[in-house]
Order: sequence, then C-alpha cells, then structure tokens
Amino acid sequence: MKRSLLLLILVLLASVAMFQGAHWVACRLCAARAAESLDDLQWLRMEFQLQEAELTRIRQLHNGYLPQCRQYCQQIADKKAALGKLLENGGTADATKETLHEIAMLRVDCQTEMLRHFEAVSREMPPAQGARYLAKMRELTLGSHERVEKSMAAPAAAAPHAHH
Amino acid sequence: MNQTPLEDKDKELSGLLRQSRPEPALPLGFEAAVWRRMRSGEPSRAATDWAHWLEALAEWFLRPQRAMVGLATLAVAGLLWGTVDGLALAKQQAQARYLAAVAPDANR
Repeated sequence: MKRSLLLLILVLLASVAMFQGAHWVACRLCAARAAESLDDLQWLRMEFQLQEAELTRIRQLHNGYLPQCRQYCQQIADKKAALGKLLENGGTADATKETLHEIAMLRVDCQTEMLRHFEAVSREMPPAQGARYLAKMRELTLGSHERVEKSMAAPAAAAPHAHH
Repeated sequence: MNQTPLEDKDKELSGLLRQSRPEPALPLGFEAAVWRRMRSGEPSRAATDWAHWLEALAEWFLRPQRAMVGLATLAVAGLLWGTVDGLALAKQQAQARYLAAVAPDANR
C-alpha cells in the first residue's frame, strides 16, 4: 500500500511539474515575443484590430503629439523641482501656493491636450472601436485620479459626521 | 539401547542450567493483553478496501501507454493555457507601453 501511495504521489508531482513547466514555457515565449516589438502602437493594433491605413494615420497623429507631450512633461518636472527647492528652503506659503497652482495649470493644459489627442485618434478608427478606445483611455488616464479620489472620499462618506 | 554415561551427564547439565535460569512469573493479564494487541494490529476492513483501491489506481495509472497519454495531455493543456496567459500578458505590456508614451504618470 505504501509503495502504491508513493507511486501515486510521484505521478501527481510529475503531472503538476509537466503542466506547470509547459505553462511557464508557453507564457514566457509569448510575452518575450511581444516584448520584442518596439512599436508604441502595438497595443492599438492588437486591441482594436486596426487596418494598416488606419494605423498609418494614427501613427502620424501619435508622432505629432509626442513632442507636445514631452514638452508639457518637462515643464511639469521643472516646476516640481522648483517646488521641491522652495519647500526645502522654507519658502513662504504664498510662493508654495503659486507654484502648486502653476503645476496644476500645466497639468490642466497637458490633460486637455491629451484628451484632444485621444479624440483625434478615436476618429481615425471605425466608430465602435473608436468609442471603445476613447472610453478605455479616459478610464486609464482620468480614471486613475478618480479611483484615488474615491478611495480618499470613502471613509468620509462612511462617517459623514466626521467633518462636522 | 543403553544410554552412555556422557548422555546422562548432558541431561544432568541441562537440568542444572534450567534451574540456574528461572523463568519469571508473567504479570497478571499478560495473555489477554497480548491477544488485545494482536487484534488491534489487524487491518480493518476499511483500510484493506482503501489499500486495494489505491493499488488498483496505481496500477491503472502506471501503464506506460496511459502514463504517456496523460503526460502528453497535460503538456498540451499547459502549453495552451500558457499561450492564452502569455497573450494576455503581452497585451498588458503593450498597453502599458502605449500608455507610458501618450500619458506619462506626471500627466495623470
């Protein structure tokens, strides 16, 4: 009986090892092949089944948008560095508020530009795919803020008297 | 047949040896305890059924043809499942790449 039990355990272990091994190899191979692609738009091609002509037009929009995006990012990074220095050197509350306001305004401009770009890209797709793309991008970009805000607001909503 | 003097001495010696190693008296209830332990050592019906079942299962699995088919099936299932998971992972990576390009963290 002990021998049979041992054999069955060995069979079970070998089966698990075989399945896990095969799964691991296939998963790594697929992910590695996908990672080989250096194209930023690979996801659009995969997710929204775009034709080559649509992808070409979207690529033009994408390449036109990237310098603007980088410029905004650089401006925001510079302002954030300035804010860091200000806080380190014990800057006044007014100066801090002003810098924070400038960062916020830069973010508003940047996000507005980003949403315009998403809309332009969605117009180059078939209507259904375009609507799906737009919803997805809004969720992925603005939605991340909403999630943080909701998580912060949740305790207050659960205990409405906390602020009284 | 007459016994030789040597055989007589052997018997004498054996008697003396027996006397020199007296057998200790058995404790009370010793025999009953031995039987009880023997009975408890016997495998129960459920245990034998389980052993038979286990042996039959081992025998069924360990036929070379079945073992090969089983392992091959598992390998194929693992490859298919891995491919599905790998494609999902690849999609996630591609999405993260696109998102990093069009909406870097600082903008969100």
